[in-house]
Amino acid sequence: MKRRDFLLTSTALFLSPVFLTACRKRNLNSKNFKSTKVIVIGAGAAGMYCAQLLHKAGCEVIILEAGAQIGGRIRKLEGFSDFPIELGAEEIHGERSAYYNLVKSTNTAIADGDTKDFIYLDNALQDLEVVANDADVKAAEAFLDTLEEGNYKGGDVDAEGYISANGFSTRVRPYLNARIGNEHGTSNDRISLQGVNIENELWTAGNTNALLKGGAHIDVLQKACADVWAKVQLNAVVNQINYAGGEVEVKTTANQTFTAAKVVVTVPIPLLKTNSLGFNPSLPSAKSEAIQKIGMGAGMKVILKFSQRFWDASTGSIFGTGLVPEFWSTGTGRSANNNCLTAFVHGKNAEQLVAMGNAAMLSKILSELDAMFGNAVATSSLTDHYIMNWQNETFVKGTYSYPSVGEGNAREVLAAPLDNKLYFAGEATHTKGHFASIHGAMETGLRAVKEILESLEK
Amino acid sequence: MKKLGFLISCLVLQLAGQAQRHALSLDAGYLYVYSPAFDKIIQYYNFSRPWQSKEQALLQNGVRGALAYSYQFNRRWAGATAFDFMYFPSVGRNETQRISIHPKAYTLGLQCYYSPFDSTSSFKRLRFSAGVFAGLLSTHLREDKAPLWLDEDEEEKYKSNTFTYSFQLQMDYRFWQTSKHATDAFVKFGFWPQVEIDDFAETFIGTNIYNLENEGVMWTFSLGLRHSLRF
Ligand SMILES: Cc1cc2nc3c(=O)[nH]c(=O)nc-3n(C[C@H](O)[C@H](O)[C@H](O)COP(=O)(O)OP(=O)(O)OC[C@H]3O[C@@H](n4cnc5c(N)ncnc54)[C@H](O)[C@@H]3O)c2cc1C
Repeated sequence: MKRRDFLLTSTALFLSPVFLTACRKRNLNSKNFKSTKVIVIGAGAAGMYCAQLLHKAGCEVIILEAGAQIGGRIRKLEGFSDFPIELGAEEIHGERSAYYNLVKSTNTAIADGDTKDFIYLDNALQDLEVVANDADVKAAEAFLDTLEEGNYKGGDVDAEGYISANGFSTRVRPYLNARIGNEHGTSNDRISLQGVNIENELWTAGNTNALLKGGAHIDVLQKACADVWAKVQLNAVVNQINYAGGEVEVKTTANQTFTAAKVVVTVPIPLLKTNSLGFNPSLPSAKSEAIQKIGMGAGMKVILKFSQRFWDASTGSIFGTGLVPEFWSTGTGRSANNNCLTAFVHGKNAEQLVAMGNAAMLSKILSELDAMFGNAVATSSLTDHYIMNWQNETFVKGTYSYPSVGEGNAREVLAAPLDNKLYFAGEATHTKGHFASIHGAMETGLRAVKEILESLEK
Repeated sequence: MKKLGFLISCLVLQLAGQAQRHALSLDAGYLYVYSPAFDKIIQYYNFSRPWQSKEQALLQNGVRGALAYSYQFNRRWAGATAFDFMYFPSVGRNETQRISIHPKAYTLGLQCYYSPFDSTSSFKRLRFSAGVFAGLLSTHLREDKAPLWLDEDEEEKYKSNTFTYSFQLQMDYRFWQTSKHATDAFVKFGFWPQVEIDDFAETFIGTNIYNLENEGVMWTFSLGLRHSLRF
C-alpha cells in the first residue's frame, strides 16, 4: 500500500462517522408533508397536541372546535380564588410522560405533595393514617393495593357487587366507592374491576401525582401548541363527515364545508355514542358497538369558598359517607390563603345530586360537610361557589371515560383508523391504560400523527 | 451452556499452550453505533416533545476499550481471548431537565487473526481478524431535575441488564514495533443480532401506546489504537 493510499483510506475511515452521524435524523420530521391537509375535530389536549405535531411535520392543519374556547376538558376558573381553579383536569398523573416533560420545560411550579387524607368513620373525621390499623380500613387498603398492583383476579364484574359479595364492611364501602368508582369517573356499581386492574397493569407513567402551583393546565397546553393556537376555528360544530370519496368532507352546523385528505376525530365518547358527527357512510358495526361499550357519564366538581378554613391546613382529601365521596382542599400547597374545598362526585351520586337542582344540591353538599365538621360551620361560612357539571356541557357530556363491565378490547377497535382517512384520538381511545388523563389524551394525538405520517410515507 | 464454556476454555488453554509467542494488548478507540430500533425510540421521544430546545442525541457515538491476551501460533495465525467494553451515551440537555441514557456493553470473546501477506508484500503490515463476543448490555437512564421540582436532584430512573452477543470483523495496521512492543491502528465492524434495553420505550417516552420495539439489531464501527506488550 502506498503511503498516499494509506493516508487517503485512513482519512476516509476517520471521516465516515462524521458523515454517518450527519445522515441520521434525531427526529421523525425527516420529510415535509406540505401538500397534506388534515382536519382535526376537537381542540382538547388530544386535538391540539395532534395539530401541533402535524404542523411541525409540515401538514396543513384545520382545527374545528364546537365550543367557544380551546382546551375541552382542560379549563380554568380565574378570579374565584387567588390561584386558578382547575374545573377539569387537575393532577398530573405520573412523572414519565410528554406532559410532565412539558410542564417542566415551561418551568411551571408544582405544589408540594405532602398532604394528609381524612376519612369520615363512625361519625367522626379521622386521619387515614391513624386508623390504618382498623380491620375494615386495613382490608379496604389491602384490596386497593391489590388493584393498584394489577393483581386482582376476580373477573370482569362491577366493584359494588364484588365488594358486597366479598364481605367488605359497610363502614368502608363509601371509601371504596371514592377510591375506585368515583376516582375513575363513575360509581362502583358501573365500573369493571378487571378494567381497573388492566389499566393499572398497563400504566407506565409513574406514580407521582402533582398539582400545578404557578399556573394552569390550559396555559401549559397553550405554550406547547403555540403554533396552532390561533388556527382553531371556534364554534365550529361538526355534524357531518363524508368519507366515501377520495377526500373527506366535513360539514358544520353553520353550513361550512371543509375538505382534507385525513381527518382526526378527538371528540369525547358520549358524542360518538349519539353519532353527533354524522358519519357517512356510518361507522362499521364493530366500531359502533365498541363505542357503546366504553363508559363515560355524569360527573362534576363543586368548588366551595368559605370565609374561614375549618379543615386541617395539610388536608389533601376528605372521604365522606354521603353523596359526595370525596372533597379535597383545593389550594393545599398552591395558596397561602386557601379557603376552598372541591366536592368531586361521579356516577349515580352525581345523578342524584343533579336531580335535586342546584340550590338543593348545594345545601346537601354543605350539610355533609357540616355533619363532618360540626356546628354548621360549612353552611355558615360559605361565601361563594361554582358548580361545574360536565354532563351539562353540550360538547363533552361527562367527565372522562371509565372501564365498564364487558368493555373488552373496545378501545382498540375504536382507535383503529378507517380507510386511511379517518383517525381516532382522544383520551377514550387510549389502548394502554392512560385514558382519562391529559397525558393519555396527548399520547392518542401522537398516535394519530404517527398513523398519518406512516400512511403518507407508504 | 456450562459444557460449552468448559470446552471453549480447554480449547483456548490448549491453543495458548501451543503458541510460539504471547502478547497482552490494550485497545482504545472511538465507537460509532447504529441501532434502528433505539433510533426510532429516540426519534419518537424528540418528535413528541417539540417544545424542547435541545433534542435527545441518538445512541451513536461512544468509546470502546478492550483488553486481550493473544497467542501467535505461526507467522500467519494467531488467536486471542478478549474483554471488550463499549459505552455510547446519549444526553439531552435542556434548561429545566437533563436526561441521559448510559448503555454499556461488557463482553468476553474469542478472536482469530490472520496475516495473509508475505513479509515482502507492501501490505505486510495488515492483519485481519474475526471474533465472537457475548456478555451484558447494562443501561441506566438518569434524569437531572430543576430544583423547583419536588423530586430528588438526580434520579436514576431505571436500570436494565440484558444478555447480548456480537460478531466482529477487524483490520489492523501495525505501524510500529520492537521486540517487546507493538502499536496497531484498527478498524472494527460488529454485528449484534440481538440488543435489548428492557422497557426502554415505555420508560423513556412514558408510554407503550406506540408499540415500539425495545430490541433489535445493532451495528458498530470503531477506530482506534492498540498497544501490545509481547512476550
Ligand atoms: C372533572 C375532571 C377532572 C379530571 N381530572 C384529571 C386529572 O386530575 N388529571 C388528568 O390528567 N386528567 C384529568 N381529567 C381528564 C382530562 O381532562 C381528559 O382526559 C383530557 O383533557 C381529554 O382531552 P381530549 O382531547 O381527549 O378531549 P376533550 O378535552 O374533551 O376535547 C374534545 C373536544 O372536542 C370538541 N367537540 C365535541 N364535539 C364536537 C363537534 N361536533 N365538533 C367540533 N368539536 C367538537 C369538544 O368541545 C372538546 O373541546 C379530568 C377531566 C375532568 C372532566
